[in-house]
Amino acid sequence: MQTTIDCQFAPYTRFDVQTDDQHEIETSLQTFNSSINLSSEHSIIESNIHTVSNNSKTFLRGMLVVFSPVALAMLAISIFMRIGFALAHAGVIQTLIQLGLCLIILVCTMLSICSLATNGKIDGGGVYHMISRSLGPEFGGGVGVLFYFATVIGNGQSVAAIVEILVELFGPGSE
Amino acid sequence: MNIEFERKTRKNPNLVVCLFIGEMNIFEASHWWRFLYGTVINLLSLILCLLSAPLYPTIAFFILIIVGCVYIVIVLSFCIQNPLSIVISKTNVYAYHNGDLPNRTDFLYGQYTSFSLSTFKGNLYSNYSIDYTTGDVMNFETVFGILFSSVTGFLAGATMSGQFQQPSRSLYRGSISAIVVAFLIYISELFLIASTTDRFVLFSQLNFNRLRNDFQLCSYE
Repeated sequence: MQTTIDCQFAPYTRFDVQTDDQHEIETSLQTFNSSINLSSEHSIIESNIHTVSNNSKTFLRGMLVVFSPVALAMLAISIFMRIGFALAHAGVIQTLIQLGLCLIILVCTMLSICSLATNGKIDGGGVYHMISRSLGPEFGGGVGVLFYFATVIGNGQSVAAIVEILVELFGPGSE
Repeated sequence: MNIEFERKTRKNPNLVVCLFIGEMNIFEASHWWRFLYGTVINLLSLILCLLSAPLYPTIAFFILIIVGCVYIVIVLSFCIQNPLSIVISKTNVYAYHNGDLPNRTDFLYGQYTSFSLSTFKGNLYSNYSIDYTTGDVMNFETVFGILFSSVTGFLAGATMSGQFQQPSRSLYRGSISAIVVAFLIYISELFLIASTTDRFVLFSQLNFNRLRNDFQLCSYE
């Protein structure tokens, strides 16, 4: 009985940066729980200590898990082949302008996705999960179908590119 | 073509870049063989996906280490490479059609000047012209489309959100730091290429990095 009450009224300890509202809710819940029983407060303090001790260990691993796919997806073939192409046609100044435009678009999209991620609990499923939980199942379904086709077509293009490079490098001569 | 090319190379080894394409006949080039290779690669990735999803960030991390090593090699080769002439491959029909060559069997050359201010000034301003692979005239929008489509992989981190403990913190820090690092690498690469390579090479040879590094291998032999 006591454990179910703890689960119901425990403060939402997943956030590391506690806003004022959360702190207020937490203190009120603590007083409420302590009015029920003294042992519940003890369990809350214990759970807080547990999450804090886990922070530094899981944080680096989680950051690496995010960092490596994103950096890998952005440092693909473009760095080796397409920078020279853009430089030949647009020159240094305009290429810098274009990179700045890319950076602005990417950072805006990324910040909105991160605001979705920080304002709710997300499990697996990624962007589809966030959009379908925040905008409703209609938008989520449409975006999910779009993501499915984008992934399938992107996979096909990647396979075609890797076969092209293999045949060009290790196959018979191009002439 | 190959015999004549080798004779030229022997006669003037500092001038010509060797093309070692077609030395190893491992893969067939016909259409259905390519189809077979694609199917095999697809099956391999399917097996990898079925094994376990948590393997993916580990593999991505090791591939990222390999890509970082390749980037360091590229930067070092920019620094230690002496000036040389780069041969334009015959697949660039447009440049060979418009170039004023006395013989049909001659080769066009572009200059790889090492770090020089005049090359950088020549690369500074825009000069939109015909792309030799398609024959279309480029403009700001098409070049931006090609650049932007090559940086749109940033949602790969968000799709991994089930794998880590604190998505609210690590998602935005990891993604933003990855974007910043990738753009720093882009800009450094941009300035390295702009200050070392002549514009004619950039126009008429997309994979000049490979040619540059091939030259070093063949000059040591």
